[in-house]
Amino acid sequence: MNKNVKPKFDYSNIDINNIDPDKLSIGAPLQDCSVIANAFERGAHVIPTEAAIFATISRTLQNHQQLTNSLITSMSSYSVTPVTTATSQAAAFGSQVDSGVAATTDSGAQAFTLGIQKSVLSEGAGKKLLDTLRNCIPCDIRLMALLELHPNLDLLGGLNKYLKDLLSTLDLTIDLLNNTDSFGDLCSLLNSLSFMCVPDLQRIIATLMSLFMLDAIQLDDLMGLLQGLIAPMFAPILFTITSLLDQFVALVTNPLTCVFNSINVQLITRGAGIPAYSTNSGPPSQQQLNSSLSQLASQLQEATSRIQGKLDFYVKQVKALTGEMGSNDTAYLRSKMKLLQIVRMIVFIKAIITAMMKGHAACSDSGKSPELSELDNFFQNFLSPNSPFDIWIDDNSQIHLDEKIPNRDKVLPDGQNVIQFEGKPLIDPTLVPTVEKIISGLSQSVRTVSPCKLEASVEDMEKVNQGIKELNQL
Amino acid sequence: MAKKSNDISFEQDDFILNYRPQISFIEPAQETSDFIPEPEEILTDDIKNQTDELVAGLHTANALVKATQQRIDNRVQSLGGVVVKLDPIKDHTIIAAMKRRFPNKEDPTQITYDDYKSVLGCVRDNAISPPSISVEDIRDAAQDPYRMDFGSLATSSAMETITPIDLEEYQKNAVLAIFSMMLPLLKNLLNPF
Repeated sequence: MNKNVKPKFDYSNIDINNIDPDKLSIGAPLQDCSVIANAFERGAHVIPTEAAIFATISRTLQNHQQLTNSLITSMSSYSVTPVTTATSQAAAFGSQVDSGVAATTDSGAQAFTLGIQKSVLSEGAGKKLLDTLRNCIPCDIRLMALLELHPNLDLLGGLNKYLKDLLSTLDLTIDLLNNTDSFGDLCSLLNSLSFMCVPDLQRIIATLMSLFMLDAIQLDDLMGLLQGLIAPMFAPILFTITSLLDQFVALVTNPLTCVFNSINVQLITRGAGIPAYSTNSGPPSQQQLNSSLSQLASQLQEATSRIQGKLDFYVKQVKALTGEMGSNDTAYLRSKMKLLQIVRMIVFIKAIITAMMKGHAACSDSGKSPELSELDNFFQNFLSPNSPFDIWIDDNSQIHLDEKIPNRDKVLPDGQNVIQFEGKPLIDPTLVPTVEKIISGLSQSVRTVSPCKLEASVEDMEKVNQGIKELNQL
Repeated sequence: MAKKSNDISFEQDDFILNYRPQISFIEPAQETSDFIPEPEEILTDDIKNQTDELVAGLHTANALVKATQQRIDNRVQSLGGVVVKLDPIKDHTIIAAMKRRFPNKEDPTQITYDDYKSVLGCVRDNAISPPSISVEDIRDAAQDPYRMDFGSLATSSAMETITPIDLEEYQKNAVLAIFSMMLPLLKNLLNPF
């Protein structure tokens, strides 16, 4: 480690007069980025536009990109072996066996523990290593642990759950992007609202805005410290510590069981279970030897127990972090869904007001149903500009919603490449339906057609107006 | 359903109260088989397959996350983007951070969606990287078995995670910054004309 850090530049040549304090960095770029990101999110949470609703979802996605990258690195380290160490190890074992010298296993265990470098043990080297270990240590469990390195089931289960949660989060995000349910009865809504007076429509907007602001406050809480800093900053190191500890347990402490048992056999043979720090009678040398063995046994047991406890702790932390991420993401996206509906309603009413103020036929209070061309004109000129969809009416009285996606071809992922690699399926078959649903949602832009029903009558209008009057008197 | 008669004779009643069913135990036919089901055992192959599936699933999820991010970017772009305006007085610390992060930006009081994506990338890139083990580390460990520090946490390799703070440099920069901020005042004092 660099313990003596020296200044990297000469301060004597600095022209103090030309220093701009605003551009002076005192080593805090990460804090700057974090502050700016948080400020943007707080601001975007209270902006009632669809763009602002979608913008901050990027934080969730960036976090998951970071987490999955870290997890892939950590989990991949279970199945790789350093080629240089492993082969030289095998060769050393071979030469030691040939010369009749017992091979040491500690270095072998260390080499596996350090194994991050990607390579594969050759079959010959592996067999030689296996034969050598079999000759020197008669412990099957230890052999298996040395040659088969896998994550513990608890960790594996936790991360599998994280993967499912992540896919659910993506599914929810796609639903948020593609959902057009709120436009399903657009014409009926227009029917109901078009004969209201502008002040009443403004009251509706004011009320909806209040609801938006009240709900938006919750978003700041959901996008809190966990998502803002802890997850992207510390999750990678947490995953790595957990996988290294897990590998340490698999390679070092678990295989020690046979060593521990052999010490117990020695203890029983020499003094039938003499406890550590015993002061029983007997020859001094014998007593000390027994005591040392006993101490070693108890120390090994304590160390194994404490390391296992530490591993359990970190596995719980990983599961808690990933679990909390999943629930936070779900709650955040569901809040976004609600806000999106409010925003769309506000935009729609705003379009009606604008059209009314310009004397548009589709929004007149004459009680007469507008012509199709007038409706089409309303949707295309007043609503579509502020919507992610082009909304229009055809000659058959059908309302169309077409998603606006620039550079569409570049956006679409190749679904088959995502779930397959070289013709082989890459993922757990139980996850395939969800993955295919997400890919379908990502690949296809929204194109919906539904009938535009105009069923309002003068009587309907009078009823609604009467209701509003009564509400105003409350 | 027709109602049953209540005319039950004494014998019948006694029979009902003291009725004992004639049940004889019939021993089921024994199936002779040497097969003894073994307790379910988790094989290492199963764990290996599960691990491979998990890693493959994470790769898939990672690709889907990137594609979803593209969709979000395009959606925001198609809707005209997002701009968060900062208050020059209340948000002066954020504006100062904007000036440092985006020195060439014309208006540092506005945070655009592109700025936001940029700083998210900055947070991601500056996160603590997982420690990795290089060939040099393994070689060093072989030469020094008592070595206690491994990987990028202990080396000055490209994967170095945390640069130690140079307190001397930090203090000098801070003093220079304060002095620079006070310079206009000092100039007026020294040269009022």
